[in-house]
Formats: sequence, C-alpha cells, structure tokens
Amino acid sequence: MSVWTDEQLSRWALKTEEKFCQAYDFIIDRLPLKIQEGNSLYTLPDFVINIRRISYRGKKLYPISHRDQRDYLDGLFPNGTPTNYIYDNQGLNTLRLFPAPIEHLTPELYIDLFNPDVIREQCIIEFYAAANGLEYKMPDYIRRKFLRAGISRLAYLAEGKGQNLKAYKYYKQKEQVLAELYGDQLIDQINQPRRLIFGSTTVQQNRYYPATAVLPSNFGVGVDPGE
Amino acid sequence: MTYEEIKANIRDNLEDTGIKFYTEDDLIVAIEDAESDIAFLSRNLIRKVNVDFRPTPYYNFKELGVLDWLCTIAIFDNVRNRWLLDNLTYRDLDKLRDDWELWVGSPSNWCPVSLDITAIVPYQSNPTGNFTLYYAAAACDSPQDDDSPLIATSFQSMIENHATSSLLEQQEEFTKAGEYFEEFFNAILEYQDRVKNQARRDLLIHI
Repeated sequence: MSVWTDEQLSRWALKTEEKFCQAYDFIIDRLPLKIQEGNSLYTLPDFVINIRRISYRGKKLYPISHRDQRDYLDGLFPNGTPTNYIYDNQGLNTLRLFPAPIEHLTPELYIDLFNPDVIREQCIIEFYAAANGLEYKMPDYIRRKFLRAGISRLAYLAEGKGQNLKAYKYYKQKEQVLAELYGDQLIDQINQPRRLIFGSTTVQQNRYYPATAVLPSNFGVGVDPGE
Repeated sequence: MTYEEIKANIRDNLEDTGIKFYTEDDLIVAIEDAESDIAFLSRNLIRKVNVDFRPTPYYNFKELGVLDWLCTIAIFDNVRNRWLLDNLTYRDLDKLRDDWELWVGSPSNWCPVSLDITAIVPYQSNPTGNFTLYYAAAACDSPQDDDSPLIATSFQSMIENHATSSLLEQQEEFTKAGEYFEEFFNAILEYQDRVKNQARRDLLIHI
C-alpha cells in the first residue's frame, strides 16, 4: 500500500509547477479580446499572470500607468482607435484600453493567433500564464525530473508515515539547484538574442542598428531641476 | 567511451556488477535523463535542416516536423544567400516598427518569441524557397550499447555522475547521491562555458 495517495501526489505536482512558474515567466500564450464599441474595460482570465504585449489590429498598444494617464492625458477617456492600455488600478486582472474602441471585434473559435491575417483583424493579448499542469506546464524535457524533486520534497515533509526530514532537506536543495539551472536556461532561451551572426562587441554596431535618432550635443535648452 | 562502458562504470559505482540489483531499464532511464539534462543545459547538439518559408513571421518548428528542436541557433536564407541577423530581442522588434507582425519584405532578422516559437521578420506574403535552420537538438532516446555519447570525452563522466546520483536517491542514499550530483553540477557549468566559447581562442582580432 502506498504511503501517499494519487490525489496528494497530483496536488504536490501542481504546487511545484506553480511555484517554478511564478519564479520564472516562461509559459507564454495568446488570447483574443472580444472588443465592444465604447467599452474600454476588459477582464482577463485568472491564468494571466502578466501581460507581455498587446496588439490592436497588428499595431502594438503601449502600456501606461493610471497616474500617467491622469497626468499626461488629462484623465479624459475619449473614443477612438486604442493606442495605449492602462494596466493598474482598474481592478484585478482588468485593463482599460485608451482610447475606448469605436468598433466591434469578435474573434472566432480556434483561430490561429500567429497568422498575420488574424492579427490584422483582432486585438490580441500575449501574456505569461500560470501553470495548471495541463495546457500550461513545463517543457517535457525537464518536467519529470523537476517534479520528482518537488513532489519528493513535499511528500517527505508531510506529516504521517512517510515523513523523512533528511530526505526533505536533500530534495529541497535539489529542487533549488534544478530551479536555478532550468529557470536561467529557459529565460535565456526565450529572451536572449544569440548574437552569433551580428555581435554586439562594437559600439558602432550597438549605436546604429536598429536606427535611432542621434541629436547634436547642443540640442535643446537646458533647465535647472524643478523648473 | 561507449554506453556499455558507461553502464559498467555506473554499476561499479553502485557495487552492482554481480548482483544486478538495478535492472537494465533502470540504467537506461537514468542515462537518458542525464543526456537530456546535458543537451538542454549545454546546447551541445547542433543540427541543421532545411525549412520552407511561410507567409507568416512565426514558426513553430516542432509542428513543422523538427521534432528534436530545442531552440534556434542560426538561420541561413538560401534564397538571398545570407545569414539572418540575430542581435534583436522580441522587444527590440517594436523599436523597428510597432506593427512588425504585419511587416512584409525580404527576411533580415530572427529572434526567439517563446519556448516553441521563433519569429523571422519581415515575412514574405508569397514565399518561395527555403532557409537552413541551425538548432540545438534534444538528446536521443534509447542509446545503443555500441554508440558513444555526443559529448566531449573529458566530460562524459557527467552521465555517470548524474545517473549514479539518480539511482542512489531512489534507494534513499541521499548523502551519497548528493555527492555525485554535486560532481555533475560543477561539470555541467564548465561544459556550458566550453560549448559557448568553442572557438573563442580563434578570435585573433577582437573587433
């Protein structure tokens, strides 16, 4: 007879995966937003931890804080084609499009959100997702090994016949080491450019590509702090 | 070193040569786990394959048939005969233009988007031709006894250490398992550097 039940093991597996996912943002997905004319407030599902990028008909929407919207945009809420989204102080998992949209965009079921024809017609949110062990989970090539350490840690900690604090300490340490090894590699895989073909070893390469405006040193009028 | 020798070494580490407490399957699973970790952490297995251009900036290479794809290393455009630049991050693409997903033209850059998706920008609306994808591959399953692991000889003991640690911890020998795992951990960090800096000494002129 097993010391731990399948339900316990499943619960600990999910807990381990959620903990890793919270520490390292690597589960990325997209969802379409059903846009209604005149409605600027939209609620996102629970599994959305953080927003990575929002595009409206293919054009990026830039995030602004609620304070910035009040300070720099006079706190008004006009209608128009959205150019920004306000991400804070709107409610839990709620964002506000600014300006409020003046059209309806209704996504169909099962559309390919990476297809340019769909991107051109929809408002798409790219987000970091919370792990749920089903659709959103760690990559297969590291999942089993990491979950083994995490589940073992929790199993040996739990009160009962299976408790073994020496084993708990071993698996706790192993889980930490694996989390750091795997997590750093996953983040590097997603975010770091390879720079094998176009390196960044020269100042010139960094300065001129992508092209940015270079203003002369005497451009502008100096002001003192507080002016 | 062949896999047969590696298995013999592991049994020797566990004093299991005559008794065979650990089955052949136990050893194979432990070795596969070790190789999978080494391939993912060091990206030492580089393969190449030709992929057709598609009318989208996004490519999921696993869905396109590259089943052992881990991450993209480089892309060579066979139509225009040039490497695609790889200095931009996903966020840098927004600095080029804020509607880059709809940008049509000759591909010039690529960057990773997520664990599964690579972006090639701009994309061609009526694509022709293909590109050569250089990618880091996942380790193969079911190693044969006569084969040798595709790891530098001086680092092949990583497989032994990882597998021995895994088998010992299954028998609750945690102190011993921890020692072998520490050996593996130190070696994998060195091997990551070695793979990354493979040709560093050849940089005669640092430009």
